[in-house]
Amino acid sequence: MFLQSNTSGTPLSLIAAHFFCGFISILIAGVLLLITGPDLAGHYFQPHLLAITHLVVLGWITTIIFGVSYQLIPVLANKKLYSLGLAKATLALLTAGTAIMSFSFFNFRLDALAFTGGFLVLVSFLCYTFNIYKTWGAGEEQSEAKDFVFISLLWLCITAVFGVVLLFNLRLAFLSISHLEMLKLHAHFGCVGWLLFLVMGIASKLLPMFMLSEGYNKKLLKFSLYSMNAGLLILIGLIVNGSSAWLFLPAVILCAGIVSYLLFVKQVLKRRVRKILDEGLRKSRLAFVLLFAPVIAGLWLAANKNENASLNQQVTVFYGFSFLFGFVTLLVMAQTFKTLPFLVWSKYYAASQAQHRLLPKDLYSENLMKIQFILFMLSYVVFIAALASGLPLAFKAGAIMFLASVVFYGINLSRLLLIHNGRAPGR
Amino acid sequence: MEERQDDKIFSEASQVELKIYDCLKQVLDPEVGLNIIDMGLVYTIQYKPDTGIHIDMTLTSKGCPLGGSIQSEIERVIQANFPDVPLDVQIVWEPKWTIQFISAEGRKQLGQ
Repeated sequence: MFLQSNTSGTPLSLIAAHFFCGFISILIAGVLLLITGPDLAGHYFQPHLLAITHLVVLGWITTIIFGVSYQLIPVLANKKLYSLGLAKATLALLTAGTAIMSFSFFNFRLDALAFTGGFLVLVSFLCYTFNIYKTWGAGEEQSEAKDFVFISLLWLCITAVFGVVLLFNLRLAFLSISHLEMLKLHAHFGCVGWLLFLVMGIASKLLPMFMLSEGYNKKLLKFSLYSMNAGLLILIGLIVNGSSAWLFLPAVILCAGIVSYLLFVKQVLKRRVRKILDEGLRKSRLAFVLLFAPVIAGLWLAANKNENASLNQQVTVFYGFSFLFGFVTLLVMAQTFKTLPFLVWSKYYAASQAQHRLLPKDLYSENLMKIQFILFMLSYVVFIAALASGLPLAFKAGAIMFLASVVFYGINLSRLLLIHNGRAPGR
Repeated sequence: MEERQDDKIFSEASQVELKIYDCLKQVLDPEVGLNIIDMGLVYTIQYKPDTGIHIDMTLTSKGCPLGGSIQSEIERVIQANFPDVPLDVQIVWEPKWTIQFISAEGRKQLGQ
C-alpha cells in the first residue's frame, strides 16, 4: 500500500547503504557495550559512554532515519527527492564524522580530530536539512506530520551546533554555565527535539496508514507538538538562568506532550480495521509502550534532584538507556522490516506479483525477527537489572544478549538485501 | 473462470464485467495482503464490445507508490483472461478512499 522505490525515485542501493552503515554502527556499539558495559554503572559523563551514545544516536538511529526518510518524505511530498548526490554526500559526511567523533570520545581525545568529526556531522545535518526542505518545504499541503518533521530538522541543526560549541567548551571552558548542565540541553535537543519529533511526525502518518485506522483526534498531535516545544524552551530558559530547582516544570510539560502523543497512538490502535498486526507493527506498538519508561524516569529525576546522588546517577543512565536502547532502537528494528521489504519487493517482484506469488512480508524471516526481539527484550531487562545492581556480570550478560539480537537483525537484513536479488526463491 | 449459474439473467456485457470483477480479486494490495476489490479500490468496471474494458480505480492515498505495480498487475490479469480486448485503467481521486470502503469480507480477513 505504501512504499515503493520507483515513485519516490530514491534508489534501493542508497537506502540499503544507510541500513548497512546503521547495522555496522550498532554492531560496534554492541561490542563496545560488551567490553565496557560495567562503565554504565558509573557517571554518565565519561568517555566510553559518550562514544557509545554518539555511535548509537548518530551511526545507528540517525543514519537509518535519514535513509528511510529519503524514501518516505518524497512519498509524503508526492515528488522526487531534491538531490540524490546531496543524500550520498550526507551519508559519507555523517559516517565519517560519527566514526571520528566516537573514536575521539572513546579515547577521550578532545583535540582537532574530535572537532573535525563534530564539524563533519554538523555539515551532514545541514545538507540533510536542505535536501528535505527542498523536497517537502515548498508544498502547500500542511499537516501535523510536516510540522513535526520540520521542527525536528530545526532541533537537529541546533543540536549539532550546540554539540560543536560543547566540544570547544570542553577544551577552552569559555561558557559560564556548568558543562554537565549544557550536556543536559544537548541531550534533550537531540533526543526529544530531533529523534522524538521526527519519529512522532513520521509515525503519525505511517501508523494510521499501516493499521487502516481513521477517526482519531488530531488535536492530540497538536497539543503534543506545542507542549513538547514549550517544555524544551522552558528547559533552555531554566538552565541558562541556573534555575535548576524548577526543572520539574518543563519535565511535566514535556511528559504531557509525550502522553498526549501516546493517547493518539492508542486511539489509532483502537480504531484500526486491521486487527491482525504483523511482527513489525506489533513490535512498533511495544516500542511505544516502552516510551513510558524514560517518561517516568525523567519525571522522577526532575522531582528528586540532589537527594540521593548515587540513585540519581543510576536513574539518569536508565533514562538515556531506556530511550535510546529501549524505545528508539526497538522502533528502528521493527520498522526496518516494515519499510525495507517494500523497497526490495518493488524493485524485484512488483512487476510479476502473480508469477512469483511473493509479497513483501515473504522476503524476510518472521521467525528470525521473533528470536531477535526475544533476545532484545531479555537484554533490556538484564541491563535494567545490571543498572540497579551494578553487577559487572549482569552488564556482560545484557551486552551478549544485545549483541546476539543485533546479529540476528543483521542476518535478517542480509537475507533481505542479498538473497532476494531479483530471482524468485527456488529458481 | 468458474461458470456462473446466472448467465441467462445477465447480458453478455454484464457477464464479462462479472468475470473482470472475479479476475480483479486476484490482484492484491501488497502491504495489506487484501485484494483490491475487498479493499474497495475499484470504483467502476465497464465493458462495451466496441470500446473494450474500462476500469476506474483509486489508491489509498495520492502519494501511494504501489499504484504502478497494482495497475500493471491488473493489466496482466485482465490480458491473461481477455487477451484481445482493449483495456483502459484510470486512477481517480473522487470519491477519496477511506477505510469505510473495505468490504465486510475484507474486514473479516483483517481480523475484525
